[in-house]
Amino acid sequence: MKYTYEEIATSLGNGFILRSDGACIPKDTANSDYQRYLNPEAEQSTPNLSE
Amino acid sequence: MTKSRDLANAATALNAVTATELGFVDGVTSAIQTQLDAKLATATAATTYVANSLADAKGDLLTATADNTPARLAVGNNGETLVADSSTSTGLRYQGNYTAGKNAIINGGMDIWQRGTSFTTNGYSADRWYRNSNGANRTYSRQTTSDTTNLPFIQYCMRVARNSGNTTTDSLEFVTSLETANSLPYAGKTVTLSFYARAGANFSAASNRLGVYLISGTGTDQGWISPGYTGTAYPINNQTATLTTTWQRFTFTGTVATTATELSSFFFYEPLGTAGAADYYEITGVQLELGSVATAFTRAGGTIQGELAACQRYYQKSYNIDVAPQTNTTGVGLVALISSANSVVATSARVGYVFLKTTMRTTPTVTIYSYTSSTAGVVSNGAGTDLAANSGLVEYQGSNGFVIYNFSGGNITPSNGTFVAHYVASAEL
Repeated sequence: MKYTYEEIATSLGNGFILRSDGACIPKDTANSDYQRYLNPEAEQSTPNLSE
Repeated sequence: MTKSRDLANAATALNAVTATELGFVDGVTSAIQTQLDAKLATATAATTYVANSLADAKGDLLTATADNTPARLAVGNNGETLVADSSTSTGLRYQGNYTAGKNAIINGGMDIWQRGTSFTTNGYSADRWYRNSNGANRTYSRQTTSDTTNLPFIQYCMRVARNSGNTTTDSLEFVTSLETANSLPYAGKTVTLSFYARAGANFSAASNRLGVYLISGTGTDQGWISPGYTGTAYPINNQTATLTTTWQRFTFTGTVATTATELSSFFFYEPLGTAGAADYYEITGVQLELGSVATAFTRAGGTIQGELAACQRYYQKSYNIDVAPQTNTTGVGLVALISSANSVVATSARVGYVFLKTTMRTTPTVTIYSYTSSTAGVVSNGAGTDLAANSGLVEYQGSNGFVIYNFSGGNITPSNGTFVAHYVASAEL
């Protein structure tokens, strides 16, 4: 699924990423959704071992 | 004279011997001592008795390598347990005691289904298990095993099905990835992947083949499907489980590289032709453990409660365990956020704080759903009325909880002194 993203600023902290499905993604590099936001190409690079 | 004296002495010696005892020599045809000596010589032969020298140390066991072939099994190390292993000369082997947490696969018994019980799009399905299939019209669903003969009383399984009539032949894949902390104990070790599986009556894969991989990577906490592994290797590489319509247990053994820091268990089948009514396979009891022998299946979490907690480290929700997220008008499990003095909450102000049920793997992605329409990013008032868009966004989330914010651009007003909402939190790989 292709998502769009919007950065949201907050009064404290670093803000967060609002994904188009309503998910709120923390700016934490250990969070895999944030990793995919930073590297959207990887999200589409699903390996195929079955061939 | 001498004979008379001998007879007299014999009579004295036989004085204490009864007639019955004398009768025991009846049938003797040769010298008794000679016979006894010959018998002893035979009895001491190696083919009759095990020699004392076979045992070398305290704890050694007497076992066998074949019929009439005794052998010594040296005592194991402290704490090790003895397991049957047909690949060793004696059929026995000591191994480390891995009973507690021996299975690295969380939810290998397909017990926990927080997201629902039937899935037709890619993503996580049963907890910790990712559905991946390029084709449409494929359904991954929870089923009861309905078999107490060939399975060790495992209640549920995953059915990976191609819907009847479907002609797409892209593979149907099913994978779970282990985080680095749970993968490191297997680096440089021999491991065994085992599982139970069976085919539907119309399973269409060539030669009834279910493909099996154990994949390793050298990154940190990567999901194998996305973003994918770095330094990929295959401790178990494209092995085949040949399915029948009866549950069978399959085991595959491999060696994990010493540099491996992450592991994934991956299954796939490649359908052929047009799907019949039962073009599927079912799988459960997936276990990854140290050693070259598959031991009895156990849950990674030990108990059903432990398994749920292990799953909630990666994904949790406010909804009841048997209610799928985004089920409308679900009262049970609602998070009620108290608004002091029944006051409105201005935009960019905090609505409330939510404590998570268990500490999560890392800071989770959180989605808030309204009560009535399950709209993402929206809270409802205490009467159940959904409020403005973006009235329920999330900030300051940590592994233990998060703050709900009103980012609607206007005030939101509670009812009955509260706002209410559901949430899902994901810290998956």
